[in-house]
Amino acid sequence: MFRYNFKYESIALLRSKWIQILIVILLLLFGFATYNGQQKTFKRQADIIEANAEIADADRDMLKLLDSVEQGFQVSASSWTIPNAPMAVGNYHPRLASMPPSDLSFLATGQSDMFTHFVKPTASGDDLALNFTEMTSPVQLLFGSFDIAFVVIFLLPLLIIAFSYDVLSSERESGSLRLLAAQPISLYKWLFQKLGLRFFWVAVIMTLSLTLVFLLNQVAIGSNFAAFMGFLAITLAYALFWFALAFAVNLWVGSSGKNAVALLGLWVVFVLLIPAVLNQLGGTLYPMPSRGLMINDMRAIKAEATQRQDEILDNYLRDHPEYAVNDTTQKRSFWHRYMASQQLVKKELEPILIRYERQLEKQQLLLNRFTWVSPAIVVQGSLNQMAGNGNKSYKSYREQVIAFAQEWRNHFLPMLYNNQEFRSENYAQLPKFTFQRPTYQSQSSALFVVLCSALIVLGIGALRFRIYSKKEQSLVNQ
Amino acid sequence: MKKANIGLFMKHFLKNAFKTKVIYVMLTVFILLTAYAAVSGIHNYSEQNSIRLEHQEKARQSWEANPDKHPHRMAHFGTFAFRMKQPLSMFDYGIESFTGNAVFLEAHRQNSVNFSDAGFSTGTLRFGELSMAMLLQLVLPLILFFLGFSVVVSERENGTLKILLSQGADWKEILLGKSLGLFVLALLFFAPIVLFTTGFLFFGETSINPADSWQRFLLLFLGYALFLLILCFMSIVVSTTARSSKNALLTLLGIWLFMVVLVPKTSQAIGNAMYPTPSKLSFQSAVERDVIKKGDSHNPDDPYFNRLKDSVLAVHGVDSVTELPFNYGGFVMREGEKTSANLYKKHHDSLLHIYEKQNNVSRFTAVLNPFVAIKTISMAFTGTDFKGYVDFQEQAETYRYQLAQEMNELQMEYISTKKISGSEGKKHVVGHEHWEEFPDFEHQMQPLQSSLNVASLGIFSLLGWVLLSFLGLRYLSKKAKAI
Repeated sequence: MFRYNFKYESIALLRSKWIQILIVILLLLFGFATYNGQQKTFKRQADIIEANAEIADADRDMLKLLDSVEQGFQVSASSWTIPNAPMAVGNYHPRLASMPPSDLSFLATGQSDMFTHFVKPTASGDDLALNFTEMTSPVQLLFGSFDIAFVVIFLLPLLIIAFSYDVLSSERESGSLRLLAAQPISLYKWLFQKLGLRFFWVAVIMTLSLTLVFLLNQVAIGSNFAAFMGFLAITLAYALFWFALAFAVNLWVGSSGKNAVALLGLWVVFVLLIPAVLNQLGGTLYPMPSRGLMINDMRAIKAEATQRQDEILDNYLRDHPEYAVNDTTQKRSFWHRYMASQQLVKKELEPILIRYERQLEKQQLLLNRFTWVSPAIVVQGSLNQMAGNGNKSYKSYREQVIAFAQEWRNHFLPMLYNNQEFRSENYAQLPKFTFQRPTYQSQSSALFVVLCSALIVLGIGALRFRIYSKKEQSLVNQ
Repeated sequence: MKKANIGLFMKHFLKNAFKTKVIYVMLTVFILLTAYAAVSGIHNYSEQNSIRLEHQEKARQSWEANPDKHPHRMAHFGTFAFRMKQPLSMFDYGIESFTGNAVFLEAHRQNSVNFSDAGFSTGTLRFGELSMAMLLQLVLPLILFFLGFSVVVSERENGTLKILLSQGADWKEILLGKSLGLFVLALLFFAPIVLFTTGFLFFGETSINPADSWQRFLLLFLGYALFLLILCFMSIVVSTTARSSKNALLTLLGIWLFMVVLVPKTSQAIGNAMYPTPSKLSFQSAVERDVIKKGDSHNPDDPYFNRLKDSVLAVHGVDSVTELPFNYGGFVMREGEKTSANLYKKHHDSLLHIYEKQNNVSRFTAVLNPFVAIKTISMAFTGTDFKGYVDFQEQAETYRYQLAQEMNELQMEYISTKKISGSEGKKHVVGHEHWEEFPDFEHQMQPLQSSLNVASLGIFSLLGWVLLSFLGLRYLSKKAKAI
């Protein structure tokens, strides 16, 4: 029976042009989304290359200038920018701390349209002044990007709904259900097979069209095979969830019209309402401390530090006797005092900074606790992570940049306090930043959650048979 | 066409609608969602407002509390500009979550408006926010389509349509009566939202210009009423032309999907692809390059400023800047600020121009798409649109420029002429009474006229759609088939 069901249903789907339509639509949507995403990735790469080239140019000029100074020539540059002073190099010739896109960055824009991918920390700048936001049109942010994640999370369910909302009801409405009920197969099994077959076709078409589209857009599938399979697995699990919903709705609701509206209603609930409510809940329960207030606090601490600069410097040198020893001139300039007080300011500001990260962590924790309520959120988080554009990646980037800023600062401090000059041969020793991508995490827990929700919904559908097991008639005659 | 008959059909429609359980369930759920959206909207508004008031005061206090200081150091101490929110922003969040509402102002530096919610959020913000506007634009259309899809076509399927027509009813009466019936239902769903918003405008803490708020409210809700009317006409037209009720429903859902989800997103993506945005880094370095090309005011040997110095000396007939009647350092800074501010403005304007072009692609689809039309109208009248954001940015930049120049003037006037440059030095200071003299920033909210200009395209589109669907109904009443 299964073989016949499979064969004739497939023929019916082909005749009704469903499969053909699905192929065309999926190819178009996936194609546009991938192209769009890849363009963004390329632009991000190009921007980084351009920024690096700019720094290389500036470095060449700096080395030339340095060379002239070392040879004792007069140079025409502002005295405080001449690179034989270590602080001049530290402030006016910062390195680029960039975050290149991952190979699968095109999958999901995630937070990449909001956060910048290159920062240039200076020696005297403070960590709070590092601005990690990117300049994007707010309207663009509101609308969001047309990427694979959008197609999978928002559009794929709609296609599935259109594909399966009337599987049972149309047979009832056309009268053929009575004939079927007379066949030696339970309606439950029959409906399950019918939807299973549709899921099979959707899965096959999706896998093939995604592979084709990715290959056409020069996505390196080979070197990211595990991630690609993970992506396919979670996408198919998500599709399965929506098929399971269609199954349950077909059994519980009734006429085609009601089914369609019920399914669309569920789409609104899972894709729009639950995420919005969770987001607002997080913001209300764990509000972010105000940034304006933080800047005000920072200014107060700094103003105080400026007044006590001499005293701070004395204390600082007492704590760091190594700086006071090696230098015979004991010359003290603005930078000596400033950098010492800066260290103090940084220490005092730390608790304020931590408050932010903590609130954000709490929000994330709340979200993690309730994320299973909507598979859409699970899939979004998972795709963002695969693309390397999720919150975690940007948090890691921020931490790495701040650590690098510290390294950069520390590189110049001994030179400053020892009153050493910066020389051409020191150039090669300048610290460099390379972004360490957080290692690829398997998405098995996300996959597990989505599969579980699919199974639960299937169970709810099957319950219909448990309750009305004696009255299969009720399905036929409704 | 008799008015009484139209009323009859309307009543009949409503009576039928209230016979089913579905309508009560939908109404209850919708009201609950509305209540949730209203409460969180009001909460959001009052919280943002109190934060703004508190910080504005604090920022001002710390500005005025500065001791005697060199004016250039004051210029770098800087201050904040805070954005006022339209009271109606509790109804529609628009782009507010992505723009932020404060900007730090200091000399030479144009800090972008920041402190947005989006920068500190988990990814869920990207799914959209639950506001009353979202319920009206997204959810209510679905409900109305569901309530309206079968109205005519099911009567045809039942065969009751034949009977109606043979008893002397007119197609026009049937179609208009049923449309109005559906519209009454729509207003029933709309009513709680109107109530919550009026309640807030009456009793909420909305001190700023109530007349303006009420005008906006009126225009906004008229717009939504038109939008709902269009949806009702649309449902009836589709229901009349469809071959079966199933087809009618599918067509309407297709329209919803296409116009609400697919078209806005795709047109925005196309706009973005057509007019690519420069990255922040390349924007900043472009500005820097231009400034350096023009002249670096901080470089004492800069040729541009050296020429300037020579001409100033010549005009005053002296040999050295220390003999000038004003502090030359302040003068150079003033000229530098002027050039850099102009250059920044030039680049920033061209950036905004790119954004504008991007937005226009989706904005112009409003002509064909009433869903986009109502979205632009809604954001314009609630002051949460792009124009409001740009407007605030410009005001803040103007204020920043005045602040920097005022400090430079103080330097020219009060700092010893013997001090050529530099902001350091504890001896060269200006009395702190001058800090109080400089007025605080006050955000002037967009006048209604400017919002009207933005919304005009959407308004025309909605009016056009009402007319079109009305004509469609008339046309149908001649062509429609009873069997």
